[in-house]
Amino acid sequence: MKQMLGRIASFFYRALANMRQEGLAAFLTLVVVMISFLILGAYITFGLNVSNFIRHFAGHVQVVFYLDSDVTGSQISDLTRALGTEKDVVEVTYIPRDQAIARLKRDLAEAMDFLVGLEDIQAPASLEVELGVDFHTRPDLRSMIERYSQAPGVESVDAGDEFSDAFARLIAGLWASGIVIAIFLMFSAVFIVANTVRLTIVRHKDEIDNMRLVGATNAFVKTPFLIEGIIVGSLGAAAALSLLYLIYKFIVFPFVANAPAMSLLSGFTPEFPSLLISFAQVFFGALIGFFGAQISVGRYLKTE
Amino acid sequence: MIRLYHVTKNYKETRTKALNDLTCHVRKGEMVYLTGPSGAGKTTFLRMIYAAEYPTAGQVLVSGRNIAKLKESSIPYLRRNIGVVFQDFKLLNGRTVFENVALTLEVLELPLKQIARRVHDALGQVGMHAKAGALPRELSGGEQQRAALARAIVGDPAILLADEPTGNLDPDMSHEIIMLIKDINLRGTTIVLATHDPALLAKHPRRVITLKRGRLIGDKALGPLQREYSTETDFLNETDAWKNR
Repeated sequence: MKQMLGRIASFFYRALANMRQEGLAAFLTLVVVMISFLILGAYITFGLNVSNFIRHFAGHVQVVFYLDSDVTGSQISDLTRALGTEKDVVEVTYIPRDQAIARLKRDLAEAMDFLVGLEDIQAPASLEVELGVDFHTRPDLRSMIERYSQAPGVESVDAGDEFSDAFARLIAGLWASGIVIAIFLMFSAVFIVANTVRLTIVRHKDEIDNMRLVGATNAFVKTPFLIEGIIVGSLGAAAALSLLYLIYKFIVFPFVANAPAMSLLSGFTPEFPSLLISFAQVFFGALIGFFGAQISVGRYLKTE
Repeated sequence: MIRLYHVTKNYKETRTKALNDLTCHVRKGEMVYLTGPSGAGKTTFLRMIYAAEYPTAGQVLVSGRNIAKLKESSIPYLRRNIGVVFQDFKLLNGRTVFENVALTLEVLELPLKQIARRVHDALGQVGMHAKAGALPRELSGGEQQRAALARAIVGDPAILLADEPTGNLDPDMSHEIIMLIKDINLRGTTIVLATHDPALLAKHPRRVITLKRGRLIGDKALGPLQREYSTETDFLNETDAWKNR
């Protein structure tokens, strides 16, 4: 155990000594990895908050089944019961005609001055169906609406389709472009780490050659370079996360908190990626560093 | 200890034949000179022994291991049994003499205390104790070669390969280095020393393997033995006789 710890310490010592000698190159690589992860992290945070924003609104958007003026009580209770058994339906509320009119009048109170002569405003009775937060991703939502729009007593349906479809497309687009950006950034980061490690290798060529001459295994030669890659990758990712958190805390959050009460952002609290996602990003950074270093040192050991 | 059977080595890039159907045998504990003009194949011969080159044809056996069939992952373990010194020393300029020598034992991942003890022993053996903390650039050529020798023997190898170890040294320094190598040989290490310095062969006579354009053109023992293997058959008969002893 003691010997194993000694070995690990010796590998870390060699990796840190290499990084110290290649100070500027190692620092620049760390900065590039940081920028890559900053862009990626910003994208993840943005995507996460857009999703949350839509969910926030989705909680208030309902599918409304407007009922015929001559709908019977039994038709209403049949519909209520049937809709209540549908997947993702959270609540079905019957809004009688009087209540619908009262609500409409209340909602339009400020504009009533302009609506002179419309005191006899009419509104149909309806069934308001509140759906689960992921309803906009449900592929069978449309078929459900079509089925019930033909049901006896139903006049028309307002599903807020355009709203949810547009946001669903936006989210899908965001994630798809995010994946493309992530792949591009990660390849760039791997390439840059590989080049930095290659610089270190060139500088230590004599040392590596001597080690191999006296019987060093490939693992013995490789390990410090892999550690160097892992350190640069994970530190870059961690620095990006820290910077992103500061941006979030001191710029984004105050901006949203101070949004006007009537704005779309009202009542919406932006979220920073969870600790698990943050750890995953640092781990991913370490992985990128590892692969970058592996490419360089592997190629060197193969050709020499 | 070292056997070459009909070894040929071609370099595709330069279309040269570095070794051409070479057969010879170096016995355990022997000290052998490998000589011949530049381009004779001496360095290729040595590089093949520590598996830095693979034969194009034929077999190279080192301590019972067939180099041609050696897996890449086994090469480090072969090399731990072989010390190598070069004309240009190949010391690491950023490391002290002690650290250069210790490198051999670091790769064996020995405990630090053991490394320190063995490095001191090896430096004592080559008379470099006092210079343990010096950097290579602070040393004379002879001292650098002594440090390189210490690095080669600190792992207690069975074989020591020396590629023109006196090539950069004046006659007095060369004499000192050869005396050290002979001393190492006396302790049981098999030595193959490549040189094209006739004065060295005359002053410290031993068996001489002569190459020319990759071919074996002579294999004779100088000095008290005064034996000459004029043909390959003579040599093979002799090696058989040795085996049957």
